[in-house]
Amino acid sequence: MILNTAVQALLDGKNYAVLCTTNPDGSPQSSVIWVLRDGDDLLFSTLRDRRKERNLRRDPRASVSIFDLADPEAYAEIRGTVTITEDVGLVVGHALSRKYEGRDHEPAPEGHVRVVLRLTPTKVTGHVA
Amino acid sequence: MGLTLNDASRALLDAKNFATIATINPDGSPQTSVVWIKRDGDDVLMSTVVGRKKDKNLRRDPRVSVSVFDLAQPYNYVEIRGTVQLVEEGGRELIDELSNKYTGADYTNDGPEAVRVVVRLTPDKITGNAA
Repeated sequence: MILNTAVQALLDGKNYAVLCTTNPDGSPQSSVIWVLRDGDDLLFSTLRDRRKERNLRRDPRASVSIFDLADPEAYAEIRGTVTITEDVGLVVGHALSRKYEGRDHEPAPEGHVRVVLRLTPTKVTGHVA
Repeated sequence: MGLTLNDASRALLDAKNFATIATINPDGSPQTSVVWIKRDGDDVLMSTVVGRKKDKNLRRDPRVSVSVFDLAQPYNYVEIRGTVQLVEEGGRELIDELSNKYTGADYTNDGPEAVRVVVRLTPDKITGNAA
């Protein structure tokens, strides 16, 4: 699935995304999260065993909404399937932290593993889609 | 019996911050959309139109998750989960109230056939930095 230039711009800007997963009982869970675009995929960073990571291991289907902080009526919903890999060398963690904070990411807390959530879109809707 | 929103959560909901509501599709996958919100006591009010995907999803499964962050300070956020009630009464008034909150004018984008619905969320779980 190809992202159009308006959706790419939303994702490339310092806009905050809301990522939604499903809980074991089938109810939705959502959280505010940094996002990085890699071609037509969306990348997120989280820690292994966090609620959203456990949810995605069980059911990899996710929905992301994002809007322009300067013009919230410009928004997109991106649905797709997520794959999870360890963020070796914090490559994605650092890239996200540099985008939003202008500095490297702090290391994962002792005993925790930082992972990359890669969402490959299957459907894109919204005012800029 | 719902929960009580704290002052930080109330301030987030009362300001002109946009919310993201998550619902569940017929196949069990999640759906999200960006919406206007208004607080009524400890409930969160949103608007939709009969027949929209969100409306259809909520009639089948009324469980939602709503995330709201401060546009000026995004690390200040709250996730509110709970079950919604859908009521048509007051639907037109609510969309005008929401439109006035966010744009300063009544809402004029609905077609004549649009039936507005009040989506009332009573929280049963509140998390986030502002919770």
